[in-house]
Amino acid sequence: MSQGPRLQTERRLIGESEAARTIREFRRRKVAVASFFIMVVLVTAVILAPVFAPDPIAQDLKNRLQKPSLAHPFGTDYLGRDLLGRVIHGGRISLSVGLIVVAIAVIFSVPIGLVAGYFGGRVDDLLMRLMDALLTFPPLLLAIALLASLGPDIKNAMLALGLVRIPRFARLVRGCVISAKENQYVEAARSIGARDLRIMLFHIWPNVAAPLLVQSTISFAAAILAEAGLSFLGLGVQPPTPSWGRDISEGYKYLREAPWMAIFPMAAIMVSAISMNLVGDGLRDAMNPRLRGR
Amino acid sequence: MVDSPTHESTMASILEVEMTAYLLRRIVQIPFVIVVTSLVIFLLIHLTPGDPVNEILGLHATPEMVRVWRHKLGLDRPLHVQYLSWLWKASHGDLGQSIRSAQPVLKLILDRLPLTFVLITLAMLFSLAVSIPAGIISAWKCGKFPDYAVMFLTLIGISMPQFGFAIILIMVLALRLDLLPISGIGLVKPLQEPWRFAQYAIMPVLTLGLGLTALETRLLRSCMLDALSEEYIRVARAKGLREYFILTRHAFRNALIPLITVVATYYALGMGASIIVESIFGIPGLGSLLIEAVWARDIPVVQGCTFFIAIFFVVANLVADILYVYVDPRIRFQ
Repeated sequence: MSQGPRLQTERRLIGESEAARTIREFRRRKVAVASFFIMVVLVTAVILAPVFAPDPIAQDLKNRLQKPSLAHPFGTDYLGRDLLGRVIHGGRISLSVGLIVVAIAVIFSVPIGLVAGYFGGRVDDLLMRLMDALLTFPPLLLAIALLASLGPDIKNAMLALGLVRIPRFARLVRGCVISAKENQYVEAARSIGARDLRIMLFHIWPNVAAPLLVQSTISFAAAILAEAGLSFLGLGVQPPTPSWGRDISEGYKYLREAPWMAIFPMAAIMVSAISMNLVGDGLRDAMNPRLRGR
Repeated sequence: MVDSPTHESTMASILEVEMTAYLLRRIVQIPFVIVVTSLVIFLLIHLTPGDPVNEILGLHATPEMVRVWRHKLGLDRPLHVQYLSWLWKASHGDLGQSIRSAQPVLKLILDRLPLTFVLITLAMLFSLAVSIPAGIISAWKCGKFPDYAVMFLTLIGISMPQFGFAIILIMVLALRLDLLPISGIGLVKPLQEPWRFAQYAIMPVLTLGLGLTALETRLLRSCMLDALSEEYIRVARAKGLREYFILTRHAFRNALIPLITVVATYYALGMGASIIVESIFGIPGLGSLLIEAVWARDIPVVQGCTFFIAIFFVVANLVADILYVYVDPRIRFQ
């Protein structure tokens, strides 16, 4: 007989805060923890790239299209550039794009969602109409148009991708705010004269932060994929700067002779996206009261 | 008192009126949305430093020639005049002429539209055919091996970029096993040579559909799990209903709404998103038309494509909203 997830009463250690409880629950999930460490390793490698990674731009035309070897662990590309270096340096671009895109989305959506959800009424209506207007735009189209007109520059790509994510985040925040408003402590705070801003920061925000975090991790993974897509079309980073998407599009031309040109950047994208998704899944499950135990 | 209207029929007619009003409101919004979208794209394209006339005439263009051509194409008019004149003509079905090839834009688009549409639809059907059984099974066997297998596969599915699928498919099916051709689908007439068309279409359709499948499966699974832990399922079991019945009749219906959302969103975005796939497989569809036009600064074509994509977008969302009302009776009372 099939059953849904088991319903259990939640147990909490004495004096444990919500955040600590979530962390404890997160640590129970080995897969999520492993993914988290993978992300940490990735980020560290990428930050330390200029220090130890091979030069991604140095061409060595005598050694074009070499298979992976000791000298070049990931092989070389059609210009003799070391692929390991390209992948690691490319990671700087891709990961920072992901980060900034999510940051843009969060920075704009949180105030919008907070205000819309908290004050409701006309303000809510107006803001949500604005969000709907943004939502009606096919995202890739907007990104392409923006990049075609302002120039295929990485900054414009980040702006376009971030802009397009704002409505979803804003809706999420607004939904959380609306349900958080119902709590009794909000009414209590108001009745003793707390200002709106204070209520929003101290009482409402903690309820918003958690789902927002989960959505951010998932959006981060999606942003990496989107940036790869744009770079693949030639609209992202420009050569010779390494970028995962662009390297894959170059590798595509050499798929027969040198498949490693495309495989390694692809693997990098997938590892990043998978581990970020798993961390997000783990967080979401850790915060879900139905899935907590012990 | 034989013919007095009952309470139910009064309610029913009130609902009908409300629904019609709602639909009318949505339909009225369509032109507004299209105008806004096309306006934004128009402005963005015109911020471009490049000049389409220079692209056509090449390096030997004298300033005089450039001026004459710009006047011919109407590019020397003020921006708002250009836009409004485009809008006026567009609403009458005239989308102008391509700057590059001097062909009517409408014809270019209609030539390419069917192919893109067919591929997207095939991909969607494929995804539904796979994700519905997969999602149901995964929810049914939650926590056991089939569930883990499905979750693993879908995780990879949502973590791969679209061209990732394409490249893997190409590497395995075309290069290693030499089973399928990569490009050339434009030369095959689907109705006359269906089998050949299928050979060319398999990889693009899979590329478009696999990511969607993974997403849908996860969504379905999570919705069904939520539904299965509700009280009324326990009641159904207590009644002695067979498991199969419970799964498909009761639990699955809850998953329908998010599924409709996903499918509608996919259609809405699909026309734009097929750009990458069309570029990889050399498919002469709407997406590749758009991207070529963007690169060449072929403004009328870009405007025209955007127009169509926006229409698609809006209609898809509208259809989704209509379907919601049919699937979930609770929504009618809003």
